[in-house]
Amino acid sequence: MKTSSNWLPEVEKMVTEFVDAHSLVYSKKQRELSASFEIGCFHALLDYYEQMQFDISVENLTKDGEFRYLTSPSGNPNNFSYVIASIGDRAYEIRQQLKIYSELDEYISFAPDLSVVKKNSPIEKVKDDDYAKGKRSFYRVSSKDVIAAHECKSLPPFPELMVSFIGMFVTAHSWHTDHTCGVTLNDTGLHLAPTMFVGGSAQAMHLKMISAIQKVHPLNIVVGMHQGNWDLYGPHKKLNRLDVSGDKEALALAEPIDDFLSFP
Amino acid sequence: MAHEKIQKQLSEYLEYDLRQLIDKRVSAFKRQLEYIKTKNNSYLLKLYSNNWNDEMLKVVFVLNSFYQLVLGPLDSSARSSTLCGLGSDIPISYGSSIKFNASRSRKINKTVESFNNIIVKLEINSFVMGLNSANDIVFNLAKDLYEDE
Repeated sequence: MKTSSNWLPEVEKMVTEFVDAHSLVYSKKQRELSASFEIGCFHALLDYYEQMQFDISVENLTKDGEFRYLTSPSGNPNNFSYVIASIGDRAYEIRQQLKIYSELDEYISFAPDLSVVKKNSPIEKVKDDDYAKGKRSFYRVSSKDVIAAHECKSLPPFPELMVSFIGMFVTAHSWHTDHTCGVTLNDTGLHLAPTMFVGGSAQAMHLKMISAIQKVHPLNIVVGMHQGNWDLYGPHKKLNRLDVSGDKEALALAEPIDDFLSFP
Repeated sequence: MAHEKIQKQLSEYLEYDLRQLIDKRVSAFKRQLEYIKTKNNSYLLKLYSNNWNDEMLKVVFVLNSFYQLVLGPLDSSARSSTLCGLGSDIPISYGSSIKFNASRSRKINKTVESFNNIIVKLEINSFVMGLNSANDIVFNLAKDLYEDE
């Protein structure tokens, strides 16, 4: 270790050079920083589905070929881009800021940052006298159609944040209590269970809490994303996964015929 | 003070709210450091006996806060690992003014690389940039010294 008499002047010099060279790049508004984190989580989720052998396609691009990201639950999802993840004849939509209402009571609703829903899930157009004085509609899907709702938090993890995700999980997923939905917790399932992505890293006690939450609830809390913890795939991750009834059969049918004909 | 000068430089072009967030985080670290000092913390003593001092630790707090609140989130979107090319070949327009594309990712990657080079040259374990308490930072800096012995 160097002594402070040369360490401090050295860091001052390097930071000055860094600011001169890069301040234009990093001087972003807070909204853009949180958007960046959300986009990073979106990439990580798509990466996961690609690793799980889903075919990924982007839908509803603008005429300029850009992906128009829905940034607020007040927008009409039909006017924005989304992703289709398909495997054989099964397909799911990965959307942003989709308002989800609970089947327990339609007034319990919220818009998670990312949602995986069954393809062609009905997007209901609703007017309510207490929303924009009844002049504008809002759009929503039922928790019955949701496979997994994911949330992105560019923050350090803390207990209240982690526990609040359990409430989001209960609200957004009918399969939690309705076993006719065909969605079950399964280590070999193809879908990532509802996940909260957290930017900061956790202290040891928080890691124990995360481990306990993941043991008793079919959800995940992934921390340390700012440190490059982006790989959601692989057995080392020990993340909860979901099986949707019929997915594995679709995967088997989708595998190239050569796989069945090849002999050791 | 060196850490105040560095914090001012790194925050200079940021929005007021973000500057405040950095300031709050650094202040919390400094308060935690003062508390640790009252406890004869063995890891802190290890650092002091290896030429670390409070001012150097405060510089680490500033660098950590800047990374966690500014560069970390920006870096998130600049990874382009998806095969479908979203965010690179297919630009993402987020609202009317924010666009995520290959050019933006390149610039951010270069900025993050420059910052990481500073951390390497200062002989700080990059893991420290992801920690959220002065206690953890002190422990991890000291742990490296024990491992070097």
